[in-house]
Amino acid sequence: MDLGPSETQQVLKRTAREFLQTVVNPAIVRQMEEDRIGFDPAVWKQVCELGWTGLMIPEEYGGQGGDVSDMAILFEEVGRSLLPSPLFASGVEAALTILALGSEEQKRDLLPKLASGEKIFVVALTEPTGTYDAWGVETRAERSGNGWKLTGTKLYISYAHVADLLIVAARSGEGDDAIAFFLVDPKVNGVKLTILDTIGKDHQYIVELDGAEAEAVLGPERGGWSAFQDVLAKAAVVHSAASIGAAERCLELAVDYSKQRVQFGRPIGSFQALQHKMARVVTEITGAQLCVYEAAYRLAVGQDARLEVAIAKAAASDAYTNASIEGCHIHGGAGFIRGSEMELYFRKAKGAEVILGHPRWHKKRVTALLAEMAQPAEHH
Amino acid sequence: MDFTFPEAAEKFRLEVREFLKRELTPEIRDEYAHCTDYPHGFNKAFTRKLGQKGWLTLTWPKEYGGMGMDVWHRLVFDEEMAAAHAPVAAHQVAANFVGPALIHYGTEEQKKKYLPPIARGESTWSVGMTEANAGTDLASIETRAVRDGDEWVINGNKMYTEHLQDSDYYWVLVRTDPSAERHRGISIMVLDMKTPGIQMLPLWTMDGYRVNQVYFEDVRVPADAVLGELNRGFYHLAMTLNTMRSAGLGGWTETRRDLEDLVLYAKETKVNGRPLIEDDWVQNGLAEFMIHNQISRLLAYRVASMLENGGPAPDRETAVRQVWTKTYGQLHVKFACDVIGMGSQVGHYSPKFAPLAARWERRYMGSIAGAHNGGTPENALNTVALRVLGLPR
Ligand SMILES: Cc1cc2nc3c(=O)[nH]c(=O)nc-3n(C[C@H](O)[C@H](O)[C@H](O)COP(=O)(O)OP(=O)(O)OC[C@H]3O[C@@H](n4cnc5c(N)ncnc54)[C@H](O)[C@@H]3O)c2cc1C
Repeated sequence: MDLGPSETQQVLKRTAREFLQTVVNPAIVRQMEEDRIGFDPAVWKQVCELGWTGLMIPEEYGGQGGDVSDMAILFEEVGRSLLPSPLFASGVEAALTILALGSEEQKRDLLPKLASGEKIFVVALTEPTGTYDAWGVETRAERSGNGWKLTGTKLYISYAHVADLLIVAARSGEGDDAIAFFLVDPKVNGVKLTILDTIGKDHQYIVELDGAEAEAVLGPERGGWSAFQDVLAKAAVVHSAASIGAAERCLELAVDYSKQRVQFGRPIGSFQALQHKMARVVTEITGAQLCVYEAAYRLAVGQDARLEVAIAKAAASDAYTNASIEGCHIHGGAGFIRGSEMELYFRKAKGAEVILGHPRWHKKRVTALLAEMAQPAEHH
Repeated sequence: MDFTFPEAAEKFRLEVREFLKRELTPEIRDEYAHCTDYPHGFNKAFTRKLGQKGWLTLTWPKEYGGMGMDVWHRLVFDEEMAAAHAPVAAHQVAANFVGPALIHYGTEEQKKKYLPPIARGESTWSVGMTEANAGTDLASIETRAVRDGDEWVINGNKMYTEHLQDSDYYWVLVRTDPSAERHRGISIMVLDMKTPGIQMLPLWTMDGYRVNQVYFEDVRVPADAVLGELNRGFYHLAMTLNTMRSAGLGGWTETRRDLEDLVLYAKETKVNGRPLIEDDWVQNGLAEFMIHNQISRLLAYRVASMLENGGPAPDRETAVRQVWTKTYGQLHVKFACDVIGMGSQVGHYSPKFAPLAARWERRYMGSIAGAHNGGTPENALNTVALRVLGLPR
């Protein structure tokens, strides 16, 4: 039991940090928020060359053959750096979806392109209700000749504007089983993309589908939803790892600032009220990080991880949100001026909190699982 | 990345479980649930049985009566003991606090004299740090030991000492050089409880447990009663406190049982025909209780994994774990009482109307002492701020 990154993973983490320090900084993050594309194509090319897009893709499909715990370790650094890029959308969500659902032929076709960075794929799941439950998929799929036509509104779809292919969840009838995942070229008639104004200015899109024609169904026409649960679990854990990395940076900023900033003739970091805030933050981060690692581990080795994933996402999101709030407070005025590093994390933390299940949603799952497991015990 | 126990430790778990099933008789269980003097059950005979198996000192070196096993064995043992509500008060301090300290800084003679009986579960120890005027600020202790020929003569007081009424030895912090800077004139001594001049008065906690107020009046101890280096006691203490705080790593299992029972209660109890667990606030609170318990477990494992890799208890992990348990324990006791509602005030003398056998009425009262025993929550936060984050004083 080592409860943390292996030696190889530590190397991955170190190299990632070194690379990211050279390609991204707060000014770049800020600039990309206003940029039409939202990321630097030259940096994206480097990211793909490093093999990050294909990190979880088996070697036979052109990837690195790593697992979700490798990706989680990498994303601690990605999250910390706030790197603007479609890495999560394509390299995590789409890659996992294609792996979980795609036919052999589809995997052979799509995954190498995704891994090399030649193509960007984006999953379009969520809708205006914002839920990750099956009932939230209201987009309809109707047969038309040999194919399918999709109608509905997808919301919160990151980097849809640079997608070569959208993977759209839609239903052809009632029940979870009637949900399938359709491959849609965003350039066809009936697809309209509009940027969503978000607090994180992180290029999420409104995807309006009005009889848009699908190229194909990814994998089976029925039963995709239950296979997709594994994708949601892994994506949630990777995103939680990103939150841990970002939260650590918030704490670092707060600690550094409080050692330098002097008021009443003393560094403000010597005030116990602030010390205790930071001590709580580091405690929450340490705890949440262990939860994320355990969930990643269980998913990687194929154990039931429903409880651990829900715990990880809830704990990591709560830790990041709190670290960003306290970090801003500790910076005083310097924490709310646009362009300060602290305010960047504060705004990005909101998106990290609500994506892939708000902590409240995951807590409901935790209790549901506990209730399922609770048995009258004879040992008392 | 690995989150599994070594196979040998898992096998050992079954052995411990089997043993506890057999040896934890209904009488001992009952004693634990309703015992008056101790929050964690005191049973010398049971402790001796554990000693005979070598389980009190699983990780000690063999030469001092230990089993030379890895920390995972000890963790497994702690987990099973806590989950089974097995009594630990007769050995806890000796085996997990005094023993490791002696191994670290005792003389060879002291080790030979004190360690084997601890390993056999035959000697019970108490620890006397806190005084009337020295709590969190331990460097301000006033109890003095003055050299007189071959002996030390001790005068002063100690506060809140647990189970001293049943102890054979008393590990105390005393001032041996009043002229030195206050951290530098402190030593650790061992008192045989048969020594004349030690007087104790019981103090009762609100939930009915006994702690002691102690007075020393010209208590004479031999020169070799000093443990470790003379006047370096405060520095020995820091390391020993860490060791003490890394004991009880299995304690989360007891809380997990509490939580499972509470979930069951919330499932089965109906309010106006609707199960409690369908209320949003109950769901959210149970989930947070579970998340925090999971983190307690993982932090305990983390501390254990650091111990395993050699060396004393890790500062950072130990300190963070202290904040965790001391900050959140209270919260969930309060929450459990909220779930139980009116019935949360009922004690076990009214069993018919005491939900969950009045466990939460007891836990509620115990939650304050639980947070302060061994260092207060604020002290834990200070330690993290100053030692882990390096914030200025
Ligand atoms: C059930 C029980 C059993 C115990 N058993 C033993 C035992 O066997 N042996 C033993 O030696 N002791 C024992 N203790 C004593 C325990 O270790 C002390 O209660 C504890 O260290 C706090 O000391 P105090 O009670 O004097 O409180 P104080 O130190 O006076 O603290 C009072 C309040 O002030 C706060 N405070 C103090 N200093 C600071 C600071 N620097 N910054 C912020 N806040 C601060 C504290 O957090 C607390 O809230 C026991 C206590 C209990 C409750």
